[in-house]
Amino acid sequence: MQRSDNVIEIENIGKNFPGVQALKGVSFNVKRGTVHCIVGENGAGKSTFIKILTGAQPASIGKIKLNGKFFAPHHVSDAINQGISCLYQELNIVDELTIEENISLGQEKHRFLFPLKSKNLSKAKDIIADFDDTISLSDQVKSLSVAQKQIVEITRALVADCSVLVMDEPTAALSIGETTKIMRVIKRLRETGMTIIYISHKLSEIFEIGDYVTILRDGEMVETKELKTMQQSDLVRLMLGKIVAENYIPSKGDHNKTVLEVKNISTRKLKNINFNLKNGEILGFYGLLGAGKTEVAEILYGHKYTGQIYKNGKLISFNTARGALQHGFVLVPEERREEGIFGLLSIQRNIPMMNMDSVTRHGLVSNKAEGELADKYIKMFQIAASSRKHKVALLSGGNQQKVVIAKCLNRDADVFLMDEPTRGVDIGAKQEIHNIIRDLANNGKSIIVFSSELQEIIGLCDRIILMYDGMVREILENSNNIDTDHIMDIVAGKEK
Amino acid sequence: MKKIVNLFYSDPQKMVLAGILLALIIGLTFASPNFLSVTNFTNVLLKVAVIVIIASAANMLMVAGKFDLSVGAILAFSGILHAYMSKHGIPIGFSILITLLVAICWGGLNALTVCVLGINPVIATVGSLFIARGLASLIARWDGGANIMLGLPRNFVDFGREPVFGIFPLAIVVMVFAVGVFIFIEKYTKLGRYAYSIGTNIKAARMSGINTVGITSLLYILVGLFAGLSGILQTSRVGLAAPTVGKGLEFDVIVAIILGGTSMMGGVGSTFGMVLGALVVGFTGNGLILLGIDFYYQTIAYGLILIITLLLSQKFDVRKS
Amino acid sequence: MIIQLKLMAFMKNQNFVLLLILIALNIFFSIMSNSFFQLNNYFNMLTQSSALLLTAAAATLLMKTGNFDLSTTANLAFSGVLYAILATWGIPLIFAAVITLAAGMCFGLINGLLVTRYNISPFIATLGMMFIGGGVALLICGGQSIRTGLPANFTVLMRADILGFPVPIMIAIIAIFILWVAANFTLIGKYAMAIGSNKNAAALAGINVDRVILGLFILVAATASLAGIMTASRIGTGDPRVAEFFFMDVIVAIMLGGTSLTGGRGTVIGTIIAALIIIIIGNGLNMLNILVFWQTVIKGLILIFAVTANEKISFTQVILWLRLLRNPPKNSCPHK
Repeated sequence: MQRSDNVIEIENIGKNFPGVQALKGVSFNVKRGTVHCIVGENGAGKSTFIKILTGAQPASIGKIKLNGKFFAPHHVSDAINQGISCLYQELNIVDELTIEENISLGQEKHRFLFPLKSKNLSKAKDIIADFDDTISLSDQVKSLSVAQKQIVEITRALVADCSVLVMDEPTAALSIGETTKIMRVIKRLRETGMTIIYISHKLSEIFEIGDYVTILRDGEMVETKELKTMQQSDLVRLMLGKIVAENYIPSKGDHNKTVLEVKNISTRKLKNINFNLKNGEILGFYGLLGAGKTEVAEILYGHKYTGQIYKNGKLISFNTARGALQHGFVLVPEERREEGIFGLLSIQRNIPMMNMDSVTRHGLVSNKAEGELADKYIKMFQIAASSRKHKVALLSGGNQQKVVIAKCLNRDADVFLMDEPTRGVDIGAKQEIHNIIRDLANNGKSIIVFSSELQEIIGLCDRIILMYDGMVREILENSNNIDTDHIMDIVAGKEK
Repeated sequence: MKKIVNLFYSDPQKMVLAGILLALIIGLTFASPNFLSVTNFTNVLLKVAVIVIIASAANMLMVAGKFDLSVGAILAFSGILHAYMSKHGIPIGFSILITLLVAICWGGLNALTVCVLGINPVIATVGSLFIARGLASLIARWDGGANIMLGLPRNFVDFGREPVFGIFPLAIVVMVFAVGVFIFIEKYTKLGRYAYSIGTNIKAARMSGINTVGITSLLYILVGLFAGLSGILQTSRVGLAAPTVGKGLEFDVIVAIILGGTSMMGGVGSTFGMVLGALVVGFTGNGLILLGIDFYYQTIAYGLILIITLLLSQKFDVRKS
Repeated sequence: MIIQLKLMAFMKNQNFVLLLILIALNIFFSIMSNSFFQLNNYFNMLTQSSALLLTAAAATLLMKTGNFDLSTTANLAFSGVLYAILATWGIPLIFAAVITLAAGMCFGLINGLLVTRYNISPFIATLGMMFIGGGVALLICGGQSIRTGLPANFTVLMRADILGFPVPIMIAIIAIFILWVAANFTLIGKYAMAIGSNKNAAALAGINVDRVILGLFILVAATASLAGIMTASRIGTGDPRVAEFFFMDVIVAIMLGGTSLTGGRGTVIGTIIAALIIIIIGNGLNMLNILVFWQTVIKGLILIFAVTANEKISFTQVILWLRLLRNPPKNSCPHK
């Protein structure tokens, strides 16, 4: 081979955003014709890295070499022209056009705006037949499955002579059968000498197709290793790092009453979930991304399911958020911006939104009561804002989260669902939020925390439910000497 | 000084508008001797009143992220219905009551199509525009003409022309009332709070347990009600009910609202700003007439003010960056 | 077999439903009125609505990208008046038409720039241009219709025929054919569809999204301007208040034809069939001596029902329901 064995050499790449270092000191090489995986939990810097590599964002520091030459893309098209194509999580494909039209989109040669027949057509035909012989170029894209759409995107990249394909969580929305199909396609691509950078949180896939893995954590590179030398649990340990837990303080209540009982809950992603929740208890759901935690939170907040939910011994059913609220549930959602905050409104207007009665006097909304309520929570949570009139969109992520939690606390429910309550929150605020959760429990409220941070779970929860692949794998009583190694084995899918 | 600068940046559109209004009033005072008089101001306010009464309600609807193009047609329909019933022996009071109830139904129709069935508001409300206009013409025809003018009872016209307390024209009093009601709703009621939250983030509103369909429906119904009310006022004052009245009014209303700083996407806006917007439009028209400039410059000025105000406020808007 | 498949595909098409409605309406009015099914009536009807048809066809392309234009009425009025004025000055009609078209296209240029360069929503930008254009139309004619001093051949364009076939209908057919080709066989149609369906993907594929949208705004303005010239020639007057609801008719025809306001869906053929439906209902009800006011009411009802049906149910779904009615699915019959 006349060219270097490394397609891409990454040297000390870093990225600064105002006030945050999203990525620092990342260096590794990608070998030609391999599947190179990149793993890390949320906020580890995976998406920042992809953006730099594909030209969507420039790096603040460091160099990239492509085939031995310096490579600094300023625009997505720069990267594409030099042979790096990316499949983003959201498909960039036009549903209303045919496959053929999609493949040539934006690259057409034309005479008086009439597109000429592309020479690449037969090439595209061969490629696509190679992957999936049930689809033909004249098919409408909207009739395809998600996996087939991905094949179309891959084909488009191949027709454009790409030599490095970046895939960002391609299987996130796929069923098992479709995932197998994409895995086959990737193996096939590797045989033809293509280099693939594969980002996924599904460890089984990584071990199935990956040759090398680079582990990122908190914006830093932990290690780059050959996958053959590793076990799944090793990888999880490297991803999560050393577990420095806060001391677990058991909640004070007597936990003698069952508030909530969930029986045989199943959905598309969940399989036969059973658990119960006592008064004054903090229950933790732990599992890696995609294990089904969020789905459990969602069914308790109005999504469709099969199975039974008992509240205080009575069978209940509801299918909207309103219904859930009326039955005494309240949710701190994971997607804070989309589902939690009212960005254009002030802190004062946000907080009472789930329970307007708390600020109504004689049937009218009282500005004074609203202000007092806001001031109470601003003080209690130490929300950093110039005043209660501050627009929530202008607050930092942590302070936005505090506003959302304040809004939910003001609802005065008896079961609190907290989906990733401290994601994107700095350490000080995290501690405060944990204390608030403990206080709530000590006052007799029942709390379920869904978190992908093990520290949070073992510092906070009385009982821990471990999830893997949509199933409850084990329910543990927490204690100060809990076996974190065992937990990591379980959530990594290792059989007991 | 710093305070004013801050205010400017915190709400650029309203400040631009207030500046334009001030400049207009000062300029016109010097330019025309007839401008600064009670009669002239009453005239301007009477013209603006129809727009403001409807826009008060429509503004709150747009804050919640929806709009209504059928207001002009509902106004015409209500005027005709009221005139028809009054002429055919139904007491004025009853006639007004029935007309308002029917106006509520028009709002309900829009609520059904837009909020419940989820049809795009442009299509749904243009649909009811056609229906209401057509029915208005039909009622006039059943009465035997293109308009209803002759044979209206004495007290029909008196209702619209008799000043309240002998001083204030009824339309202006109702305008102040409507503005008051909606400032009240905006500041002191759950309805107002919910409207803002729905316009800001409808998903979060749903997750917070707010009945989004119910709230937006109620707002459509209020818009229908106030359009009906101004229909009654208009016919009573003029003493003539024409099915063609209020053509293009829906756009006048939307212009006043958008000029006032309410975003078409919802979540931002105020009744006060809308009043400023309507006054700017009203005084511009009045000024052009007083200065003897042909009336068709008025629509040009209208369009220019709309586009320029938006361009300016976009330029000053720091939130975007 | 292939023909059968194609036929099936066509029957599942929303346009097929519209076409059926159109045919049914024709049959209905032919039975109800003696004067309806006459060549002259059809010529009349289509001459009157040729302006609407071609503007709607062009605006379909624009709406496919998720944009729309409220200023077509104003443009039509302005262009009609300008054309008449230029004609009274003794400028040859062909030059007058060219100058008018150029002036009319400025509407599109301004609309397009406001939308693409200055990020003003199409609703507000074109609403502003609606006011400005309407005002300018009144201004240049002093608020009076231009009736006198027009050359004798001013109305020739719309009243002439070639071998008995009216010229305006030919203009409309040619224009619609060109737009149909543009929508289905050129990059314009493809890019418009791509932008409306997935703007992000279109931009990532290297399409200059802003330029396509700007171009389409200008195209719509050009057709609206041509519509103005045709209307002025048809009524023999430059009237600044002509066709007040023109833009609404255009938008209604497009949406009834299956194009969605948010873009990414729609066909020129669908728009044309929908426009024909509206035109025929108007004409047919006239023939039956039904009041023009009832026509307005019926138009509103059709609009609401058609869009509800279009958004809530597809024809395929109806077929599926019918099949289910005939042989309901049996519970638990494992295939594997």
